[in-house]
Amino acid sequence: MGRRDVSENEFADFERFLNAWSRRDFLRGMGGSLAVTTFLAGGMELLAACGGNSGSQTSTQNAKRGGHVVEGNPTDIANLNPLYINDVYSQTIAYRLYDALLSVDNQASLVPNLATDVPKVSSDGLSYTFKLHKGVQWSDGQPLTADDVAFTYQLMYAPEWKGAKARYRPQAEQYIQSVTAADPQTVVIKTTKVFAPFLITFCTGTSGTGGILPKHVWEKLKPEAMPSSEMNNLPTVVSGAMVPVKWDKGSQYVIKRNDNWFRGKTYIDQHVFKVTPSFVANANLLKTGEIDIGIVDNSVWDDLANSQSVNRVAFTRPSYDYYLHNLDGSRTPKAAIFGDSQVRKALYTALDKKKIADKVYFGQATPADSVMSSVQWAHTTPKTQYPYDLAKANKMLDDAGWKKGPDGIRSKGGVKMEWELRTNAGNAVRETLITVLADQWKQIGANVATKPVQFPQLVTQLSQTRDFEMILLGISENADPDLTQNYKSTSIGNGALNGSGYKNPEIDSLLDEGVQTVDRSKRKDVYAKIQDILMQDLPTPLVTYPKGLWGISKRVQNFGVGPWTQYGARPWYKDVYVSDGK
Amino acid sequence: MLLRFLLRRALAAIPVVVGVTLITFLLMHSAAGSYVPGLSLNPNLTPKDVEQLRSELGLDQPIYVQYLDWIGVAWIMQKVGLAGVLVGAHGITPGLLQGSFGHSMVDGTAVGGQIFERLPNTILLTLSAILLGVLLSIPLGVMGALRRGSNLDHFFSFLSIAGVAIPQFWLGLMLILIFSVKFHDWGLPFLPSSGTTTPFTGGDLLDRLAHLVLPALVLSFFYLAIWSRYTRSSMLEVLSQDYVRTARAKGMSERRVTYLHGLRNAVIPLVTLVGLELPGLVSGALVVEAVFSWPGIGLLAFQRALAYDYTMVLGIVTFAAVLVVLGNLVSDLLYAAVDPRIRLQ
Repeated sequence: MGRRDVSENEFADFERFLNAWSRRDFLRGMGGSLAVTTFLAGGMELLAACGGNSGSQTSTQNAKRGGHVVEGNPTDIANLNPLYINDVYSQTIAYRLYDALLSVDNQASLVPNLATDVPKVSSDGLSYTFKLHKGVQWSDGQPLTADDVAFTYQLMYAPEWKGAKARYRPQAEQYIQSVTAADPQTVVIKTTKVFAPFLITFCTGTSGTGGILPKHVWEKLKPEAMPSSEMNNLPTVVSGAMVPVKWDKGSQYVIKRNDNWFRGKTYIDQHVFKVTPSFVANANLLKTGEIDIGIVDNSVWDDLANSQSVNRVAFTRPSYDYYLHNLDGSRTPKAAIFGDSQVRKALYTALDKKKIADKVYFGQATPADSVMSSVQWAHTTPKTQYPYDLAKANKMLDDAGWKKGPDGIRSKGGVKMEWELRTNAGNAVRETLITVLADQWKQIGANVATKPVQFPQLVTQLSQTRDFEMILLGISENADPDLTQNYKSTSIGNGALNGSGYKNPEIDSLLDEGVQTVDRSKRKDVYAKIQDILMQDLPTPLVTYPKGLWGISKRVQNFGVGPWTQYGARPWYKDVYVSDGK
Repeated sequence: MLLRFLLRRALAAIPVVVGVTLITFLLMHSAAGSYVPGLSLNPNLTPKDVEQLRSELGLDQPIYVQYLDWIGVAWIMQKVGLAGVLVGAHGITPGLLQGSFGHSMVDGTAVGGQIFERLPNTILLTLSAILLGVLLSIPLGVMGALRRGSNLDHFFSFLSIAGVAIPQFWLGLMLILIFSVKFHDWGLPFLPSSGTTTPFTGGDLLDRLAHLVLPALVLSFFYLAIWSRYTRSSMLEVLSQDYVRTARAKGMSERRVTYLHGLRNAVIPLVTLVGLELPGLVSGALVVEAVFSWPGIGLLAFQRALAYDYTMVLGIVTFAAVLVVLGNLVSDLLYAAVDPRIRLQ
């Protein structure tokens, strides 16, 4: 229902990568974001550019025990089993119920969870040794041990559990060699190859999976019975901060404090996830106190400021809106236009990105300056930038030999500068955006037709048939800067995201180097090079970095939501309390 | 007589329901995008994996086999040893004829379970709205007819036109803005604007009623607008009949004339109109449900359509089709009951 740009909600997780265009996406209202895989290696680098209200105000000195919070989302849950989660709202609840070995903070840094520390990778880059906290119990009082951990991963990669159809099985089979319990407190994970995004993908539940299941409960099921088990929606035994109470389909999911949680009891007694009409309606519900927490639409953000009872939290979220030129002459004759890098640069220069952010996103976005969002730890601002300059853009096209005809439209060698720009139908922001882009390009002599297309069709065009001319879409990033899916020459077609058909051997080898380098500071250098090259080549220019907009009732304290802790990972959750204790 | 009527109607309903299932099924198959979006798009799945997934979902079977499997005919054929006729069929499960709507493609839950869980919410909403509409539209229509041409009559006409012209979503949003948000701002008791109960604390009768007020009001406004006009014109017509003049001539009080001779005859067309709305009891009120996040059938169908949850949408449409047929039957019976001139044939 929510007519909003929802890229942030769509694919904050590996899931997305996995199932790049999940069906839930549409359920959430618009669809329209793709997912890129990402990851993050060890290390604790901080990123100053992060927003959110994390850190500074976290104090539990005056914290009250008891009470409840109501969080509003426009979508009901689908599946809470870490093996099957496929949307961020399910993920948000699931990781209140199931702890993972690690978690992620607002800087996309790994933090310990069930494991006492973030493990260092072995010298060959292939194995990780986790030490588990002692005395961790399941909600039924059974101890949580390394056996549970090994069992959970075996469900994903071991052949005898193939019938369980874990969503992450293709990845798990590809990357996991073995997961073994050395002793009740020690787990050793061996990987098949050096893969820097491993921990974030498999151990945090943020940009992938990682929730640990109770072996003594699930081993009693046949693998084939797992996908349809009722425990997928209402788990009986969990390990996390909360335990499930009830699910009223279509209206609410209620969880309550887990007194057996190894980190101690949460301050709040209950957390209700209420299904609301839309992100626009969330603003009204926040005002009347019918919900305490919720994402709100750009269009009502300013209005929400009038409310005395609601705090607003805005931050750049890990996502961007961008457009792809089709560079492949075998798919479209328009490649003759886009193949000229001067044309791509001129088009990008003709875009007033600041104005777009202000008008189309109601000011709740920032102009893009690279090929990944500014909250990625690997983000750099390449020297090559394209500030808005119509005269310069016109001159670039003149110099490149594109002459204006009597109708004001440029052409060169019989090829007219006109094409069709598509985006996914139903996404109000993007439908506006393509009109604005067409309008701005008209001013430099390009005749651009706009066409909203159903999302599945658009995705097929982008990732399979590639019979488009230009597509505008959004990407929600994972907590890893890997861009293999977007720019590697092997990612053209077959469902991968390099729909523009960009081929650059230097980028190919840098992308490989990126996922094979575990050390974060060395990796950052690799991605800096990648960003420099891609900003010069501009196969898929980014337009904006949209913001995540949250309304939080003033009675809710320490809800430290930020770029990377909107959904699954909420390492600050144990400190959340309500000041009125209700 | 009645039995024969029922039997005939039941037989006539069969092709209707079969037609609905067939058309819906074919439409779903030809909808934009692949039958299971996302399936072939996962970059980590090899073509072999995709093939296996399609096979597990039964999508590799010929389309007529998929249809027969879904409606349950394939299952019967298998039971009587005719499975060989279905070339390429595998993994046949009980279908509609066996009472199974299958499982959702989005969350794996049973389609039938989801429908029956939402149904009471939808019936509560639509039934309240219809009752409200009937209770208000009759007095409004009668008053309009009795004071034809008066300012009151003009005002009611204005209300009716507004009721038809104002989109439900707009009216809903306005009511939310006034009775929920603004009342809250002004420190007055305000009405909740979404869901059926207050999370955490709510759930008692008063709380449920409070949640019901706004959506039921919006939905009933449309009924009110139309039905009050019908009552008015029907009342005017009846009041000009000979038997009404006769009643007046013999000195009957105006009150008795209006209510005993006038109204009783004037509401007969209204019964048909209300009867026509009966199928809406179950097919839901999508717009109102969406605006107020009312967990009913309409909203479920809409959300699942957007989510490309084919099995769920198929289930809901089929379910609604059966109930529409039933609803029409009920309204026919009702009509015969109130109007002795109508005979079932």
